[in-house]
Amino acid sequence: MLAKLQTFSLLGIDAVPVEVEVDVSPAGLPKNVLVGLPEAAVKESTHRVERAMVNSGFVRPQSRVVINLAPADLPKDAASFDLPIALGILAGSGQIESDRLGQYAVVGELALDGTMRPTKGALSMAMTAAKQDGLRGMLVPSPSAGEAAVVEGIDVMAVSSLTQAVSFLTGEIDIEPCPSRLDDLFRELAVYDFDFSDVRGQEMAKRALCVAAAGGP
Amino acid sequence: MIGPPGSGKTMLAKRMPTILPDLNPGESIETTRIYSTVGRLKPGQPLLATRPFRAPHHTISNAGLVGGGSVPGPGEISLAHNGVLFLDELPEFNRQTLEVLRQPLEDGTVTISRALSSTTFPANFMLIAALNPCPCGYRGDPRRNCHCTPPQIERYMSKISGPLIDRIDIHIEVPSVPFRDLSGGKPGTSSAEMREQVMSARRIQSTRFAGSRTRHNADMTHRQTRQFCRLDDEGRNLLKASMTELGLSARAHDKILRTARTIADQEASDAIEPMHLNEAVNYRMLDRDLWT
Repeated sequence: MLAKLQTFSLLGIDAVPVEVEVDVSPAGLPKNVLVGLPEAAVKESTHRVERAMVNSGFVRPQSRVVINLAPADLPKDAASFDLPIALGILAGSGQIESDRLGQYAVVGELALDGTMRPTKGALSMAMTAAKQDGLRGMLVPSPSAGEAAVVEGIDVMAVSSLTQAVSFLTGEIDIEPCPSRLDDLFRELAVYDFDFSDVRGQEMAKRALCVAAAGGP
Repeated sequence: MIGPPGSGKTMLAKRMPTILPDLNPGESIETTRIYSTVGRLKPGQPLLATRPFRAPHHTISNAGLVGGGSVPGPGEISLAHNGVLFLDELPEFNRQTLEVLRQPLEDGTVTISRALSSTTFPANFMLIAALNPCPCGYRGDPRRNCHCTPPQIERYMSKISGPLIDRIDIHIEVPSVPFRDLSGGKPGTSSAEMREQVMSARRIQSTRFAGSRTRHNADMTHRQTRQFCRLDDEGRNLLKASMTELGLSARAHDKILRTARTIADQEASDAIEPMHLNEAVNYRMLDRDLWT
């Protein structure tokens, strides 16, 4: 069976949409094939995904699994493909059924016990997701959800484990989207720990810095 | 900033972000994105609401400073986007590393091209550099003797290239602090007071440049400089005298006018008085023979 998921890859500081296609077909011997220019971190992902699935109580399919990361000519180098690949394998092998798979983009790195690790560039990914048509939201590892939630126009769902992501996608549980706390964060974090009054003397230098700050970028 | 060791150059630079205007949400998200892609956001701090301050060590490589790698990643200048990049011990930096700063300083972005892809990173930062006046650090200090020979000093100062110095708007001397200032009970000018001055000058600038692409005095075009920085006769004579005496470049000439404009703005004065011009000329220390 074929499963398709939406995720993102980082290119510089921009995120580009990537489609993860997982096809699970019967075969004599179990085999994993990963195509779509995966760099080392993505190649190793199949091992992490396998154990995370088993340790979360799912079954590793004993069939031929082909995973394709499209566009095929874009090199992919991030661990954030773990979760979409895992969900793709589960959907492809018929262990989960979900109509939410097409509506939510998925990113996240998995630990071997099935919990989520923070992902790099969650903010850029959310920004790209917000611009895409047909996406309702995005599943983001809970440690990175705060930065992604700053973006308006997309529901950011914080998930802390593979099982939680699965239960959400199959509709067993509902997760409240992370609220955008931009204004609160600004009030909370826009403070400096030090002050110019700590500097004794040097009034000439301070004056020059003042001029620089007034006329500068 | 030029001064002997321990005079407070680093301390001053570190406090620079406190007097710059607050980040607006757009700028904050721009900067946060860069930190997010390199995984540098601290837990519990999902947004950078303060201006970043980056002080890379002088052993930094080209790629570390401007960004690079086979899949290009952002460097220190991009991490300092919308904030302050502080280069302590400027002459200790690899000369080539400093030269790569020139393009980002002018454009506010850096483009890194590799065989596979080319990537542009934002890099709009304020550069602050600190150096000692000589290798031992005490040249010109009234209390300590300098043991450096003229060739040593010459070699030390020649490590920073003229074109880079020329791009720095304001050069100042930070002398060692006398005991009476250190022990005195009176605290120095606070960030809040300085920020008030900065903000009032910025308000004048935003009305002046309404409708044009320029936002600050520092990025005035040559034509705008001529339009907004008119001098009276006394001012013109003063500038002429300093230019011939100090051997200033055309770029330095414009920079002095822009700096003088900012000083006048701070005092809410429409015209650039000779006093303002004088202060601006004094901020071109490294252009003098004495120092190079």
